[in-house]
Order: sequence, then C-alpha cells, then structure tokens
Amino acid sequence: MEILINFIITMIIIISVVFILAYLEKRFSALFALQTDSPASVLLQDAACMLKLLIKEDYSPKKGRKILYFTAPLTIFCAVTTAFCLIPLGGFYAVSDSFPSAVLFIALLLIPAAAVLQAGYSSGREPLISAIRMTSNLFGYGIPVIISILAVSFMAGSLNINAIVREQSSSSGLFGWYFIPQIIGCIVFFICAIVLLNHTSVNFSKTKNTLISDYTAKYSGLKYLLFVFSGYALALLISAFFVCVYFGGNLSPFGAYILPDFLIPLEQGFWFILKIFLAIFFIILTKISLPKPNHERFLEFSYKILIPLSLINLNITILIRYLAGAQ
Amino acid sequence: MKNNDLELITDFIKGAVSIFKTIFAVFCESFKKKTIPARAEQNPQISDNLRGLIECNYEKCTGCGLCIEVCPSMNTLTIKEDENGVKKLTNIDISKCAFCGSCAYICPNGALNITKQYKLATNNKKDLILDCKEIYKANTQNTDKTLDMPSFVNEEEI
Repeated sequence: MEILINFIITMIIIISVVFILAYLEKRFSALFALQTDSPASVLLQDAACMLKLLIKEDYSPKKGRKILYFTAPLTIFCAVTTAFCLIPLGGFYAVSDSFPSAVLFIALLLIPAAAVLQAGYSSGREPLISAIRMTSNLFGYGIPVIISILAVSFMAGSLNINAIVREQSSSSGLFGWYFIPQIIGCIVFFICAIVLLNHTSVNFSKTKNTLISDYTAKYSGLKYLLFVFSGYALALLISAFFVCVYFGGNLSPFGAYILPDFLIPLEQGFWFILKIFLAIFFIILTKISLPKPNHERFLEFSYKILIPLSLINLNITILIRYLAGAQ
Repeated sequence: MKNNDLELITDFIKGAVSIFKTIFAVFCESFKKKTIPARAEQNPQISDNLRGLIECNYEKCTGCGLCIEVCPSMNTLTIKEDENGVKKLTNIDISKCAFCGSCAYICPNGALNITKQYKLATNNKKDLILDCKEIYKANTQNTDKTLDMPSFVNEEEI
C-alpha cells in the first residue's frame, strides 16, 4: 500500500515537472539562441500541442507487426516512470536500503533502447534506420554511464542510490560531494547526459531530409504523446540521477539543513529540484553552443575516448580504495 | 611515435579549451540585454551594380522594338504609334519587370537607362504602370532634377 502511494505521488510529480521541463527547454534554447520572443506564447504552445495530440485521429497501420507496434510506447513509458521511483526525492524512499537500486536503474535506463528498436522494426524501413541510429547512441553513451556509476558505487561501498547519497553527507557540505574526487566520471556522465537528452545538435535519429522524421513516424495521437513524454521524462531522469550520484542528491550545500526538523523533507525536495534545474540548464547550454558533429565521429568519440576515460577512472578508484584498506 | 602522441594530446586539450570558451561565450552573451535589430538602415549604401527602375528618354526612342524582343518577361513594355504616326515606347509595367536591365543594354539609341531607384512599393497596382511620355514631360519642365522620379515615390525618403 505504501509503495502504491509513493508511486502515485511520484507520478504526479513527474507529470507536472516534465511539462515544466518542456517549457524550460524551449525557454533556455531561446535564451541561448539570443531570441527575443515573449514567454507567454511558448507557455501556451505546450498546452496546445497536447490538446492537438489528444484530439488527433488515432492512426495505426493495417499490416505489420501489431503487437510490437502497440507495446513499444507502453514499454518506454513504463520503464521510464518505474525508474523514477528509485530516485530519492526527499522525505520518503520507495525502496529499502539493502536493495541494489543502481543496478535496476541501469537496467531500466537501457530498456528505452529496446522500445525504440521495437517501434522502428514494426513501423517500416526509414523508421528502422533512425531507430538503429538512436539505439547506437543509447548504447554508445550508456556504457560510459554504467562504468562511471560503478566507480561511484565502489567509492560509496554500495549499489543503493539512497546509500550513495547518504555517503556524501558531511559537515563540509558542498566539498564532501563526489564531483571532486570523481571529476573524470562527472565529466563523462555529463557528456552522456547531453546525448541521452536526444534534442537538436545530437539527435541523429531525426534527419528530415533523408529519413521521414524519426522512429515515431508511424505513430500518432496518444501513442506519439507517450513517446514525447517519455523522452522528456528520460532527460529529467538522467539529470536527476546525475545530481544524485555526483552532487549530493537532496543534501544541502551548507552541510546542515536550515529549516526545523519537521520541514526537512520540504527543504530536501527544494535542493533536489534546484540542482536538477541547474543541471538541465548547463546541459542545454552545452548542447546548444556546439555544432552538430558527424555521426560516425560522434560514436568514435564515445568508444575511443569516453569508455577508456571512464575505465581509467574506475581503476584509479579501485586502487585508492584498495590502498586505503577498504573491504 | 612520441611526437604524434604529444600532438594528439595537445590537440585534444586545445579542442576542450575551445569548447569551454564557446560555452562560456554563449553563456555570457545570453544574459546581455537584447535589442531587436533595426529592419532597414536610414541611409543605406547603394552598390554600383544595383539595377533599379528603368527610365525612358521619350525623345530618343525610335520604336525599333529590340527591347521587347530581349525582355524575358511578357507584356512589360508596350510600343504604340504616336499622334504623329511615329512608333514610340509608351508604357513600362514595373509589376512584371524583372529588373534584369537587358533592354537598357540592347537599346541602340540610349533611350533606356537603369536608375538606382529601388523603393517602389505602392498600395495601388495601377501606379506600377508607368507612362513614359508624362514622365518625360515632367522631367523636361523641372530641369534642375537630374534623376527622374515617378509619381508614387516619396522624395523625402531618398
């Protein structure tokens, strides 16, 4: 019962925060592209888009692999929303401390790749090509994430996300977080987070001149909305996990919480959401100020530089832990 | 081999530094006060190669019809007989003119000239059909003005 209540609360938070994220993505992009439009027009655009998608005719192809076609948006949606329950927002925790939630998180993070392949395979030729590009991105930039998470878990001595966050708490506050000892892993994770956001300048699945639009070309209405929603939710999830692992999750940067005891969950939530939005701000800033690279060079960068870097980082952490005499 | 490796590393560091520089520049630029750029300059510099309105010298015209043959668009120029029975270029329809200037280049008598006049917007489409005779008369009366201005052009803007 408690888990169910937690799940409902997290779902409400996700749905509201995802729409704020969709708005912020547009606003930040406009800010960094030096545009001078009015914010109200963008605010109403999201609502209009959602209404349009809900009213639109629910098209589905008559021939083809129907089971794969219909389960693909549900798969990606369920995977992303389930992964949200593993993240400690503050106040309540959905999973116990003994449960290795980081492993489950990584597993759920790579399920969207399977869902994308499902959608592309059941839709047709061009969607399949874009789906393969998308999955190559997801795997190429998912492996460095996994290795850098491993390094962090070696440092914290646990695979539980709550425990990783709790290990970072110290009286020195900001200087106890893992972004200082794990700076290489932090940078690698940040670069991967930009790619997993899958928006302009790194979205190789969307090339309108050669492929139709995306792996979602044959989807319309509510099914398309599920894809778009889970795309934003995935971006939010990645930045939330980034904050949890390297920037102390819901911990205060001053070491101790300011508010009295019974209001601590509120303050934890405040710090957490503030950090997430800062992370998204810098991710979009980096994404928008760099030009679009060649796809093959882009994958080379992952396999030749990011994976070796994260492996070096992992080896250094293990060596230091061994020399320090940890178990 | 060692030199190659060093070059690779230095290139990598240079690239990383340049990436950070661009990100920082975008960050700084995005928080400056933005001004909407003006749509047109007040006194624009007109280039030498600009081809504007076609001007007709009514006296020099002999009505040979070379300009009509050369013109890429249809029904731009019309040649009619005068009251004296002499063929003359009477009308230029600017709404169909492509401003290619080939009529002025081909004219053997130098009757057609290219001017630098480019502000041709009007509310009435009939204003765009120029009467060569009236413009020539107006020009010859005011001898001070060297450049010919059609009726719809506001002179204060130029």
